[in-house]
Amino acid sequence: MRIEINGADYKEAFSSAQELIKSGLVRGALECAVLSDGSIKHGDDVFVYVEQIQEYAASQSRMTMTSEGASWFEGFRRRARGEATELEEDGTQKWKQFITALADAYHKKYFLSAFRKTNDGDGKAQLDEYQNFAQNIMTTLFDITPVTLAPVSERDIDDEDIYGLSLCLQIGNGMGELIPVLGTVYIKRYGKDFTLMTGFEAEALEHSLELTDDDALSEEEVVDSALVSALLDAFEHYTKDEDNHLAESLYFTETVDHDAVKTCLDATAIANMNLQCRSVQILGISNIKWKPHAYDVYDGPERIFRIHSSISGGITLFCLGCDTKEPIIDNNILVYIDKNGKRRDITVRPEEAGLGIDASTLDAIRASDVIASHYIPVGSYCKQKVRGGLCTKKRCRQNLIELAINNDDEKAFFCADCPNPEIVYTDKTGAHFTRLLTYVPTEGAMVSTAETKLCTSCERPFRSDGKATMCSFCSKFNHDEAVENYKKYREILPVTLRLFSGKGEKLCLEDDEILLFRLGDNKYIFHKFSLRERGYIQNPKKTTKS
Amino acid sequence: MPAYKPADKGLLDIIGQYRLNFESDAFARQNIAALPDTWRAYTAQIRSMNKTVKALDRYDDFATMKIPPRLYRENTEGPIAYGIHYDHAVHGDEDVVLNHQHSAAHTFLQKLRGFGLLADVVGSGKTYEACTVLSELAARGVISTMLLIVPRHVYDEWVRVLEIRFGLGKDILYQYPHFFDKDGNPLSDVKQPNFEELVERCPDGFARPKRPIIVATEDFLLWQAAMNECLYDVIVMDEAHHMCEEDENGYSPTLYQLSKLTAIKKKADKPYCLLLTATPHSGDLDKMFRLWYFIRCQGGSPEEFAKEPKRRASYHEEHKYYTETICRGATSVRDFINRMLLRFFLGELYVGDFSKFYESEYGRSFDGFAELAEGEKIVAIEKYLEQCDDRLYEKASQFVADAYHNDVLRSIMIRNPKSTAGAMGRIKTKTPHNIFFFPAKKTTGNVTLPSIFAKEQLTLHIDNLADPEGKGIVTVDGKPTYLADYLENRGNRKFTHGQLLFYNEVWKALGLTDESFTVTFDSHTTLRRRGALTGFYSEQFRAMSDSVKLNFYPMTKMDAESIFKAKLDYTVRLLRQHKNERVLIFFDYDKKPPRGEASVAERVEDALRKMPEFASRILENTVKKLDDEFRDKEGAILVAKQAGITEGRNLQSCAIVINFEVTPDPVAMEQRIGRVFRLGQKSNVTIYSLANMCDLEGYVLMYYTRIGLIESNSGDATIIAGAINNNMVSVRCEKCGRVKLYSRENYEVAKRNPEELMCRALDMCRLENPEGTMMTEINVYDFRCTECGNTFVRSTEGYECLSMDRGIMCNSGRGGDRMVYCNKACAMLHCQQFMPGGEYEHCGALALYKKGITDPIELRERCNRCENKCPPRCRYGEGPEAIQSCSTCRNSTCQPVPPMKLVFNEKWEAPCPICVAEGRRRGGKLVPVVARTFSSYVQALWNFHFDENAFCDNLRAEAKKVATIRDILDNDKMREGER
Repeated sequence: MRIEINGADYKEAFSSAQELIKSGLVRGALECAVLSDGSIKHGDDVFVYVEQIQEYAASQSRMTMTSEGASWFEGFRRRARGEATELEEDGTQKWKQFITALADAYHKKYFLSAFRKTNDGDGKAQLDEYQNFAQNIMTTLFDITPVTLAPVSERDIDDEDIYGLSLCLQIGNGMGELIPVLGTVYIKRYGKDFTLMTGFEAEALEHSLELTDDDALSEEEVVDSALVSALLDAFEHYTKDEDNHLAESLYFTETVDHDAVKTCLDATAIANMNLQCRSVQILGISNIKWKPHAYDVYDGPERIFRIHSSISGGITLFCLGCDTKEPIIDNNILVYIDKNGKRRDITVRPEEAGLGIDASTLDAIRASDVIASHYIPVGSYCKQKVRGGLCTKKRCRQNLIELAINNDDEKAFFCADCPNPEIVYTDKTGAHFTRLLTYVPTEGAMVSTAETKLCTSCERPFRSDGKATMCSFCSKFNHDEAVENYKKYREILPVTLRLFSGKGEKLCLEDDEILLFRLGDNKYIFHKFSLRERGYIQNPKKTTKS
Repeated sequence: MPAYKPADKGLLDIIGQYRLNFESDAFARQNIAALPDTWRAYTAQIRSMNKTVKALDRYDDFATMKIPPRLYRENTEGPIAYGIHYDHAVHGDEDVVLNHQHSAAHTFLQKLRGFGLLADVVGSGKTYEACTVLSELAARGVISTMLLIVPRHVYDEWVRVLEIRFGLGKDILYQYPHFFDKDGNPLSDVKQPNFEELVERCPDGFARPKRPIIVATEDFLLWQAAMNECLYDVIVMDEAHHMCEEDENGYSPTLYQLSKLTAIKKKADKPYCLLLTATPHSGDLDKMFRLWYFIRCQGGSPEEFAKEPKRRASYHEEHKYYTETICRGATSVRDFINRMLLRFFLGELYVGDFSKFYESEYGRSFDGFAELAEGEKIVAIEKYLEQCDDRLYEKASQFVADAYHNDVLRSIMIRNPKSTAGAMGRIKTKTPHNIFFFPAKKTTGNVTLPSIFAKEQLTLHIDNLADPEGKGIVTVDGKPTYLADYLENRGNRKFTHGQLLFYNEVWKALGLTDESFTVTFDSHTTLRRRGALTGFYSEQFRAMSDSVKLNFYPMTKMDAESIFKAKLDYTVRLLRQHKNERVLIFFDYDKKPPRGEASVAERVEDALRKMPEFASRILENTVKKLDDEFRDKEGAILVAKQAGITEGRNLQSCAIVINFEVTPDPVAMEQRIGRVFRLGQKSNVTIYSLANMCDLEGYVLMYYTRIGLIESNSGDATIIAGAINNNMVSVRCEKCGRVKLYSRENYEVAKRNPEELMCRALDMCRLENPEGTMMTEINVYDFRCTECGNTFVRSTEGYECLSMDRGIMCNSGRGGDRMVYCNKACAMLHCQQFMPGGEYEHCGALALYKKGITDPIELRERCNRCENKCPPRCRYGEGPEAIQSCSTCRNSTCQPVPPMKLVFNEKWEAPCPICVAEGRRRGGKLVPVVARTFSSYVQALWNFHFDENAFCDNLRAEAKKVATIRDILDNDKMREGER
């Protein structure tokens, strides 16, 4: 059957179908051929593109004004007469089915495609250039000057691992027919995690791929199906994500798609600016891996950041001081949250003074967490005095331990590896803020103050489960030993006290720190290390609980 | 690799601007076939092919039109000729569906995705555009039911176009019963159709009509409720601007009902809905919001069109966005234009030049400009606009027009620029031919031409200015010739201008002066319209387009009867001139004849019927298929006796229109011309307008001519001209009663200079203060009760009685007096005592009154001479005291309000007499209703007694403003990529 396709809007589709078939890329996947006159043969159908609308009209016999009315209203007439309304399929329906099948065949065959690229150029030769970039960034964003750069060994550099998902979305603004648009989202892998790249980053990436020369293309590789599956999981998650990240990452590579979305938005109520997506189809996934030159940035002897070029030629900056895998600057894009909580994307131009960012924006960026949390003077958070002043060492905010004191009214920050025990006490359980610990004599250890009580007998802290009122020193002693001790140390007590202490039993408990005398119901503590001002030993003191 | 720098192209501008909500099953992972085992190398070929295949992936069934225009051509093979008949005279080189219509339908499908507003200008063929869309939807098989909601006056046309022209099939449309006749009167005993027979329940749970349905807009709200539960795959609503009409609570029942239908369509995923209108707004942008909201919010939710409190926050947010961002804070088109002009001239580029102009013109520092009232700023901008060079004027016009057409209108609608949509204008022309009847002391005479009109001074003899050619016959050197030809031969460079000035000389020679335009209303009141000739008419004539033909008809007697006879005489002459052509004659239908008398239209028809040469040509107004009869009868004359004929008719078989009277409503005037100057017209159209220069119609015709209403499709300017004029301020001197009117802007300027508001017209005005009396704001408009909703209407004669249908209250309109009261004679007329059988049935004064003698002095004299022994309280008298006793008298038959007086307070408010008479516990008050239309505004101005030159000044200013608006809005260009 000869099927004529008409209309300038279909010309591109027809030419594309011809080109795709001629390329041989769908050979074996779909039976079709381009004939010598340019028509496309598929099964029994031959599709012919007719340029002129008049020619089309003359040759199209299916749609016509009949003696009963217009053929396209036949369904209405049949329905009004109570007859069956199924109508003979017209040619354009077959054309639609054909091109859908053709595109599907192509996408199925080339669903996964990979692009590999290693660094180009001489790493040492680029050192000077990166030195300037790094210095500019460090000075502008972190007030660090000067810095030095050292190349990183290739084996210590992780690949940038990016997945581009080509999507076909059926979108609409709630009313009117949906419109198909094509877009791409790029997802970057950091270890096991996937992160959506913003539309701005996507554009930069697309731009760099455009500039890629053929030599940089890779050979076929075996698919890690678990990884692809994880990637699809991540994508599915994003489609259900209420934070709308996918819309911010969706990049329309062509004006026609961008304009279609814009038109939809223009006709949408300002109150919501919501678009609906009824279906999203992944047409293909491309994987881009890139191994760049990288340089570590040193502040004196301290290695603080790593800088490298991204695949699209921009600068990427990682912090080495913390575990954060995501870069601070990714391909010249810096993402920060402004004071209103709104996400902002800024393009950094490392070759320009002030990174090409205006002063007020720069202030906002520096104040935001993306900068203010890296390589900061510890003293700006930790308010503990060290040798009469605040600590001047620099650490990432992530490395500071944050502690709530007094039911969150007060917060303390400290470094886990702080060398000052008056600030941080470290034991086998880890680092603790000393101010919140209490020395428990019965254990000879520092214990969280919250877990201790004062013993009602010796008046010293002990770890309590809440019920015990006396420490083990006072409650679990050897009676005979206590009698003996009394005899041994009784001279310490004044004579009068011993004479008039009644008839009760007289005992003395001893540990490294104190002597506890029990004279009947009265208790006296003698601190072994306590001295008078003039060097004499202090008298035993009666306890308040006596 | 070079470092990436973001491109300036706009592909990124929407990122972060919207939310994308995925439906729960939007991503069907199971649809991804088994993954390949290997990553294929991303070669240059794949990269290239990925781009190529996008054209296939992006296949959009709405991207192209399936039915070429020529497939709509008429097929004459069957018993019924389905399709559109091709006529070269109409279609030219295009096909039966014209390019702009096809293009509009295409854009509607491709860009608006089948839901939106088609708003091309009058006569561009929106019905065809809509039917093309319906055909395309049907060709795609996406619709099986349809609902057409169309006004009654175009109902039959819709049936004919869709069933026959677009081939739906004869009698396929189900025509829902009418509950009103064509004049809007309710019909009795109309039964709702059997729902079960009309509708079927489908397996998907939706009820669908078995046949496509057409229902008149008027009947739509009255159809059975069950019809609102049906699914209509596509809905078409013609004249969609009527949807915006609200009651006083802001409730819009049509929108409410339509949104209920769209809610069902949403559920069924049948989104198609076409709204059609040529006038999406009536100059009032605030009102257009309803339409905007319905479209932008995709039909909205029914409750959003219910009463105000139920509306959601999103409604208010949208309204805020619409008002502040789209309309730039303006509530009317005029206001919008003013704001945009201000924005343009105060913008960075032009503020420098403007400030210099301002400082030199006003002698004030520009620093204080920001503090001025908006009106004052506008006045300054208008002045600047007048004197700035053409290039700047054009730039400003383009700036404003672009914002108006593209930002405001095209934000929600498909609207071709006038130049492309007005296909008629490219094929045929229309020529206005204005015939002015003016008062003259003589109709012929000698006149000496100043040398500017010719090389030397000439003396001519005027023979007949009112010749049919409109050129004026004169005698030069004893030889009769056409004045126009004579002047042309003399080589006058500015012929039209010169000619008009010359006419000025002619007028003088014939004894016409400004005083000739003085109108006497009654024995006490004389109205002078100063500057009517030298100010108003001369200016308009000078600014008039060359293509307007003029003819002048001097008359020595200007009473109504003489004017009627002169006009009839002229009409007869025209009918003879067009003896084989169809002629349409229109009148001013708002002018009501005195009770029992024939209307002007009836008198004209009677007169023509009596002439054998026309009797057979005259067509009865009452024939059922008037359009067809008119088309089939060669040389037919249709004397349109009802206003209904002026709307919705297809009378393009006629090319001659005579406006026997000129309506003061510009929209109505455009409608009349639109009956004949529309698609299908095969000849050039001539529009004759006959106007008395001393009457309102003369001034109004001049105004129409100035704004190009008749001559071209002035489009939006007509709407603006006919729309709200609530920015006028009237002031009055309390001493002498002199009234002056200002535009709001000019009034703001005048307030800064109180000198200008001081009246010193008469000695009495200077009695208390030698400087004069300060004129204060007054109200010239109608009133409405806040509770019962009754209106207190101001007619041409004055305020109409609240009880009887034709009574006019005393003192009404006289300089805006705050007290009006019933006429004693009128009260006597409705008194049982004076009625037949009553004790005083033979009252002499009343007998005179019944004869039409209303002069109080005559009536009082007759009363004094009367032999009836009626008590003093029943005797004829003047003033409010005279009806005091009638207001409580049991003999009065006035219902519901007895004879009364009404006193308005400072705010022009008064207790509602109807509420008082009906004993409402919570009585309302009458509050002013500002004139909403040019028609009501201009009539209010016209009826003002004590007018000196306010009328002419205002109308002249108005004409100038609207002409400027027309110039500005004519710069309609679609932005690149819009179509």
